[in-house]
Amino acid sequence: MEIDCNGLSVREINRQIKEAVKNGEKEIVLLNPGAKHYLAAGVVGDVEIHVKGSAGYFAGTMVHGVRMIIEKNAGWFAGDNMTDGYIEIKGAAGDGVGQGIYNGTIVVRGNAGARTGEIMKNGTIIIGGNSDFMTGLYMMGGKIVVLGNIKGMAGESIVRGAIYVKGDVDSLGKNAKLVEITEEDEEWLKDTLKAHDFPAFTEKFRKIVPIKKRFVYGSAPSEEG
Amino acid sequence: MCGIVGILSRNKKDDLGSLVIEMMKRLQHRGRDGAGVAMYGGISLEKDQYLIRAEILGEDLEEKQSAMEKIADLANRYGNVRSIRNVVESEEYFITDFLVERVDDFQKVRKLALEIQGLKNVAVLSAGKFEMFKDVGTIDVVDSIYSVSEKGGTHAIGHIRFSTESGVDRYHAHPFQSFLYPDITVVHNGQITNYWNTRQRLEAKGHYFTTDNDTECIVHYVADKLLDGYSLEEALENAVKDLDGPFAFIIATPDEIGVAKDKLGLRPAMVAEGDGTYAISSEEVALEPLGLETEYLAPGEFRVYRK
Repeated sequence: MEIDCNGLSVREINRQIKEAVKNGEKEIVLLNPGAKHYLAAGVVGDVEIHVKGSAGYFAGTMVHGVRMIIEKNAGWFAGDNMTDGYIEIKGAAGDGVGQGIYNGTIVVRGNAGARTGEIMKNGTIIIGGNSDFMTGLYMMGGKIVVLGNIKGMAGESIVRGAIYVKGDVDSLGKNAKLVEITEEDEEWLKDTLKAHDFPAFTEKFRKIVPIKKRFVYGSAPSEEG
Repeated sequence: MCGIVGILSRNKKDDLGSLVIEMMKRLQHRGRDGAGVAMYGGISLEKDQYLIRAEILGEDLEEKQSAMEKIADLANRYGNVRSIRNVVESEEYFITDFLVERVDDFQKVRKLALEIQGLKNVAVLSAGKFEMFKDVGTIDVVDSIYSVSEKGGTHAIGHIRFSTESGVDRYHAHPFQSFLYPDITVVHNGQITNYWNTRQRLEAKGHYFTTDNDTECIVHYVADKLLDGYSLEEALENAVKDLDGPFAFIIATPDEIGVAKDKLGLRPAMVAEGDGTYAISSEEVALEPLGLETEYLAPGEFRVYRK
């Protein structure tokens, strides 16, 4: 089914989406999304949502099981707190993409803004371009893959999880260190990138991980792995 | 939270006012404390003519008229008051335009504006060759008072205000102007956390602050750099280094608009370019009506667009 977002409030758009999902709809196309905020917020179900344009802030926030394809850009906090599902952004993403996600996968084909994957707990975020300042800020779990470069303070105060990066890293944040990837990492990267239609894997990735698994303010970081 | 927009066209656009209002309406969710627009290229003034727009308060009509007469007397000492027009008349206040001619130097306009500022019951809203429209409330309120959407021009900047610093009144609404440099205005989303240090340094150089709003120090800072011979690009590059806190701001001059974003990228800013039009906004939702390619600004990035 199609929903023309032109002239509709976000509340009305999301009401129509939820009603359609309840009625068993498997594919919903949002026409003229106009970079509106909160598109598909809180939708739960096995449904594919195509956003035919740009989405505003909090696209797909708190979704569970939804497959959401955004044809252009997404504003700040795309996929915020999603618990499962798949969000693909074909353009660029704003700041805080994948903020606090519990599970699922977010793919950004273009560049991502600052604080990608901030406080994420689990799941996977793949950035096809560059990822900006403080990628993985306070990251508590899951995996971030960046095919381009990462700007300053990568992995700032990371507690758990890993950031795989193919390009350059401007600087590392507190509690973050850069290490070589393992064979297991390499296999996972090959499979994951292939599954999401990214160019063939080349062995140039490195990995940002915590220096200390439980980072405590005021204590000196130590090598724990 | 605040929302900011800017739009510049290589050629004068008759629908510039309606475009900027449409962009601002789409950012209305970012605040309802105030709204304002500085619009350039919409009025034609002779070289020696300047428009001074003032807010005039008073208990009664007599008090307001007395303040207007004092403004006119001052202006006649610097040049000649060609016309006086009340843009808004209400029981509480007037918004009044003084068209002053035979003023051969903008520094005289600055001195005049500051003298008017010192009068009882009077606040200068703008002085120069551009128009300033600002008030408390939503952008619909501002548009209904000033009919901004019916005006044309070459470029404009606009602001939707969510007040976090200083008072909620017409005078503290953005844009802010610095009388140091001709027709320079700013709109800002964020906080300048080294405001007092920056203000003290500028005041020590003789700059005069008319409010306690942190945004005002941005416009004085940039005007100061331009007066020192810096280009707008250089001024913005320095602003990103020297100003602390989360911010994104848009600066307008008679021929340019520039945008700058703080080093940590804590406030949003996007740009759109194409077909001789350049636009800036806090969010893509405001750029949608233009149908142009959009791009996010990176932390610490700045851009300048010229006519």
